[in-house]
Amino acid sequence: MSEREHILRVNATYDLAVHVGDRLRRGERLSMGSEDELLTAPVSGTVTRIDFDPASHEFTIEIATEDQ
Amino acid sequence: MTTTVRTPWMVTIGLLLALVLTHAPLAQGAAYKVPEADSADLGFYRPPITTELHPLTDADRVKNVILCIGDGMGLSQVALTSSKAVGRKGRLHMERLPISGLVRTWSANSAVTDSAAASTAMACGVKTNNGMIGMTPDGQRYHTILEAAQARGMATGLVATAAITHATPAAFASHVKSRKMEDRIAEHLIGNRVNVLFGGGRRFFLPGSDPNSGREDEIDLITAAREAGYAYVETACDLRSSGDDRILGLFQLGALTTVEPEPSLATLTEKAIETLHRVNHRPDTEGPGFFLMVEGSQIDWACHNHDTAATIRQTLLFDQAVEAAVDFALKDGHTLVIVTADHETGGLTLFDNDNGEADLVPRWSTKGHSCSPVPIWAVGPGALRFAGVQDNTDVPRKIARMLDIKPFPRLVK
Repeated sequence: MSEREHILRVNATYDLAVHVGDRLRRGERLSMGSEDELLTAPVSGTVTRIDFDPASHEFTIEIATEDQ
Repeated sequence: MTTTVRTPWMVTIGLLLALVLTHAPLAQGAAYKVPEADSADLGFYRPPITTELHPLTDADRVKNVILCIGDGMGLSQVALTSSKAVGRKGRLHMERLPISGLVRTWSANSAVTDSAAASTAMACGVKTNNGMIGMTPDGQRYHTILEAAQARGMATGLVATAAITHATPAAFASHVKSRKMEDRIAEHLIGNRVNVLFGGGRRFFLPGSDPNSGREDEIDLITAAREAGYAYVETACDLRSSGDDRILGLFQLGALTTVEPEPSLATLTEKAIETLHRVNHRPDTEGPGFFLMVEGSQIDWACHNHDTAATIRQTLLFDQAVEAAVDFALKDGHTLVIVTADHETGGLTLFDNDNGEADLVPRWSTKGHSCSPVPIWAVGPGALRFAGVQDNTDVPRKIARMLDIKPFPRLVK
């Protein structure tokens, strides 16, 4: 079994709907923004890291999924 | 979305890391580290020697305008910083301005604005959608107050601690559909012949073949700027010795570090004022004057990370720039200084310390921006117009009226 790591970027204008350690299901909301391009998790997994990227003014959300 | 594969031992480390981060929420935004120096070291700050408000002026003729914007700087950020730096009875430099009010910040498509929409409102006098720069949601471009001032013969300048192509400075001299179009924004800044451009973001001025470039084309904007009459500087030393009327100062590839040997925001502000004042100086009050926007960009970034020490430090760096602007305005007598913010970041509220100690206790309620109104202060001729509650679009409209710029807002034809 290996772990796959997905890095997602969301607009930092709005609050996040997830925290580090959260277990997400695909389709769960990531951000409170209404017009973000990416609002929901494209995969199920665990949020392992959240960073703020000032250059792009985005949060990067790292989701780890387990591949069977 | 990017995907990588990790081996099982890395999974273990990752889970341990996740466990640690779960119990250390302030460490979650580890990618942002400003400054490199100790955030708790506030020794650089020169507080006001008195808490008295600066006097209101009888002069009604506005010759110069300096607009200082603290990105993400809400009332609580100011109160927290003030409490820490000068105590509960003291005042920051910005708190000594005699006129104060509140600014509503909503954008065209959200109660919670971003810097692009808020700065478009404060530059063009119109609302737009978050992410858009210098145009309304339907794509109609509007002249900015900087462009209008320039058309009136005024010298112009933009100073920021972010990339000079970042949303706030961009909104004063460019028109693009997305704040992400920083290569295009860089072209607009040079094309608009803004006299003074000080900040970071060199990567967007370098041709794509340069390994440090953020551009996909081969346009060399630094060479283009030189050919257009700009002096180009990258260091504090070069900045000090430059006596040119047009200066492009790009002190980092990305954002400024806000630590030495880089010039501080206050130093950049002083140099910008010196340059702009010299360009259009006449001994009377009828000269065309200048318009300058100064942004303390990284208050917002510290707040996104709920980094209280960095929030205080960045607010003090901004306050030191305000001091430089106000010092000039008081000596000049015909300069209006406005200090405000584009929005509040972090949903910061402050509570008393149970131990009875002086430090206030911060509580952050969002990782993003909030829609709380932001403070505005003013000093100099026309300052009274900024008292009370106003919309962010009112700020450039009031400036335009004082500079006899008509009509404003105005579509770009």
